[in-house]
Amino acid sequence: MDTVDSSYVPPPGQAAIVDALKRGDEHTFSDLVTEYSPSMLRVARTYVSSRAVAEEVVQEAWLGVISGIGRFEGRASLKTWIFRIVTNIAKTRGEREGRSVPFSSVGGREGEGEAAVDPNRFLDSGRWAGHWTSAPSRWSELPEEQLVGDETAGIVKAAIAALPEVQRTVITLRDVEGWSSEEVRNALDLSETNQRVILHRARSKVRNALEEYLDGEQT
Amino acid sequence: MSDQQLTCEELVEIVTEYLDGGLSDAERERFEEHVVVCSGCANYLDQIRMTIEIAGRVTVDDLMEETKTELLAAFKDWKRE
Amino acid sequence: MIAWKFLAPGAMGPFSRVTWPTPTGDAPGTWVEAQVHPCTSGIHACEVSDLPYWLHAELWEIELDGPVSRAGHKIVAPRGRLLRRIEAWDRNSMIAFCQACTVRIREVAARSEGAAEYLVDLEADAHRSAAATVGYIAAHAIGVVDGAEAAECERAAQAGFLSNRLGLDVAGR
Repeated sequence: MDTVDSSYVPPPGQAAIVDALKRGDEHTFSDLVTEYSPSMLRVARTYVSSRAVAEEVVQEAWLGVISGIGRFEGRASLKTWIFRIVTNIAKTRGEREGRSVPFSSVGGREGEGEAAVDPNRFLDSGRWAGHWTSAPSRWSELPEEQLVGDETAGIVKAAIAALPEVQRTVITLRDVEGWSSEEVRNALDLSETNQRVILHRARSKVRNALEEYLDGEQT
Repeated sequence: MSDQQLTCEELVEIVTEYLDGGLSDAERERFEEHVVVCSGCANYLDQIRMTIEIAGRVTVDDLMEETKTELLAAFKDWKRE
Repeated sequence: MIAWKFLAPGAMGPFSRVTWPTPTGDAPGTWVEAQVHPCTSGIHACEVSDLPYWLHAELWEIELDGPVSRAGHKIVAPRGRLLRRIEAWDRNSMIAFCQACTVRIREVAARSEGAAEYLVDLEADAHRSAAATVGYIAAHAIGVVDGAEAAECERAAQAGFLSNRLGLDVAGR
């Protein structure tokens, strides 16, 4: 409840979902489990040692949702509330497992010192030092089918999969699942700066992979 | 005026902050003024936007089916109590 | 207040990516409200002196409503609506703008080797009528040779050129 501000207005439809859960409506519960569990797993995975433990955390979190929904008062979004539960359980499990390195410091290290774009792409001296030597191309001029095609989405998926874990988690939550930066910061216990640095490194690498693929095909 | 200009190499490092609305008004203007006059950076900004858009179409792995079944069973139990 | 606004093709905000409602017949476009959001300060527009910094494909006359404030090279208001497109801002005007900048930089280049290098860059961009880039290089080159104040003067000369050529003198209407 630490991030709730007093002007909070719940998203439309939330009250109906919460009521349905309190009534014990199975469809609503099942839909929520389907919708949120993949992200919950991803969040849990960043705190604990294995996928199996992360699954246990998610399961425990849902049990926490079931037993706690009666006390949910709608002062934060349901999503924020659910992910607070996951994060707390995962953190406790991680500590018990002896994963002593706090996530946020790992995140900081992961982003450090990497350039978004190969430094060789920029002039290193002269009157236009720091400007492009080979400028990025206009993707909007590529055939539409290529940009929306499955193959291009596949390149992005593979590039995300190849990222270090923290970067992969953050970009998946932000860009694949469309979370806000605040939601990601809350779920992963990241500072604003850390969240941004990690997302920045992740997006830059995915763009690089796309550029290699899209511009490679052109020539 | 050159002392205040962003280089392209600097711009690509603050593009995420720009898109998240994290820049101050003055930094934001510096960023946008650069993009207006630099086609390379205009393309770069477009590319990052498209990268985000394409990522939004990627599908993600699901929870294991048996976990889901177990959870649903737990929910039914709770309902009966 | 009447001001000016550059848009990308199709009356699209080059940064907001919002498509502006355009005027139909004699009726102005509908009002666009600035989003109530901490990061978007409002509707951005230009006074004549701001124009050279934001050159883009389409130029529109815009009516601003509410308290208008200045922020760097632009003015900001809570809402605005498009009144008419300035049709005179077309490819020919872009070419003419580039030529006018080239002429002024040639004069500076004649007395400074530093500026001569920039002239080469500027001519390359002028060749593809990249007006915004040409305007920037011209001011930048003059700034390098003659200092920041001279660069401001170059920007003012560019604004004057646009105002004249496009008939933007508000007092005259």
